[in-house]
Amino acid sequence: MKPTAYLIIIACAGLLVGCATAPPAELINARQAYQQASAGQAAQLVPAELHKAQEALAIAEQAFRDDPKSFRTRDLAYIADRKAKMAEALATTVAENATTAKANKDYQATQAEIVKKTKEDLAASERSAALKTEQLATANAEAQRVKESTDAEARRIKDSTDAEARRVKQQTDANAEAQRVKESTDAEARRIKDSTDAEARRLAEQKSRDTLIVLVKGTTVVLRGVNFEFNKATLTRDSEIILWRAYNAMVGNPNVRVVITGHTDNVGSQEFNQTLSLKRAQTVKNWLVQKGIASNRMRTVGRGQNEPMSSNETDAGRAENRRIEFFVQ
Amino acid sequence: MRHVTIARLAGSVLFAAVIAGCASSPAINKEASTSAIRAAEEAGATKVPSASLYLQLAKEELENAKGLAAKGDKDQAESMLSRAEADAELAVALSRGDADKTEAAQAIERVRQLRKDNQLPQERK
Repeated sequence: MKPTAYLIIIACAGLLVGCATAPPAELINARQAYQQASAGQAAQLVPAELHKAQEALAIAEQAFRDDPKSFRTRDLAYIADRKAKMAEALATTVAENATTAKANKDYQATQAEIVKKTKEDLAASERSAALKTEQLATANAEAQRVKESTDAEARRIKDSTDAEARRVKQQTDANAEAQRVKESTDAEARRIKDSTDAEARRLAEQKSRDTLIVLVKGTTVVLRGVNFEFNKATLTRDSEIILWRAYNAMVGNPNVRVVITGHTDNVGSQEFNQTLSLKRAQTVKNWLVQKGIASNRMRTVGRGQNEPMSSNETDAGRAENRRIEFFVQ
Repeated sequence: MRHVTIARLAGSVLFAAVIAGCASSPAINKEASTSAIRAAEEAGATKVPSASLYLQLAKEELENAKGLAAKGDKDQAESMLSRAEADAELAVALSRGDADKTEAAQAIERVRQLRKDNQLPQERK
């Protein structure tokens, strides 16, 4: 092999060794920083800064090719790394500023939205208030109308009630007066009637006492003046005058027999009056027996209220119906 | 004899130059990096964790540059100053980004609270 070939091989080897020299750490960092910055938002937001970083990196690369191990190469690579980081930082700043600007814009838009909403709420409130005012006015008018109607109706009812009260009072006063007059009249009538009846009874009894009892067979004699205590079979004192006359008639007519019959008015029950009339007839018979009249000449019967002589509607009639009769045989 | 004199003169000049070089470091422009660091501090980088890291790096790099300059390595010192400036500028950007992020969050919260206070539905994100 010629010496020239050796020289060429050595030169190529030297060149290969030179090319294979490892880049300094600063350059490696600069490459990574630039790659990271260019992949991020710096290319869009701060292209000029990214371009500066690119130029700085190119200078560092050139220096590395020219003199790989010099301090100048490391320093240029270091600066390129910082330029790339600077581009990335500025991109972040721009993005943050954009965010701030958007937020401020949103703030203003929100304020405008609030103002708009407030105005709408205020308008709605005003409409609502107006509607309520109108409804209140309508309600008040209706209430006033109802009140006036109610008052008028109340006045009408009151007037009607007062008139009715006055009419009732007048009627009541008239009725009371009529009642008072009636009671007075009735009392006077009763007083007159009682007086008349008493006088009639007195005259009848007087007549009876003054009349002789005549016993004729086949006839009925009413022993007027024979009276009993109320609801009892006990003779009154005045009755004995009449019974003595009956005794005299029985003594004067020893051949006659009599059926002593008791009668009552219609006051009380039928059964009570039936018993009472029989007891009264037996009382008369017992009185005569005690005086000496033979018991077998007398038989007693009670007719109760079944055979009235007069009307039971008046005191005089009822007095006539309460009686003792002798039926002569 | 003349050659010896010239050689002595040149040696004297070279010695003087070396002495002068050792006596004062080469001048470097630190204005841009220090301004960037000051801007980062004013932006509140010390209170933002992500920014405070780069601010600290910038300060250290500035000190390194001074050290390099003191050693007479002006080129490397200036290159180091470029690092400091880049880190300080990044700290400024991160500080402002953090403030912007806080402001954005507050703006979103204001909107949310406003809608809540007025009983409005929350908008979808």
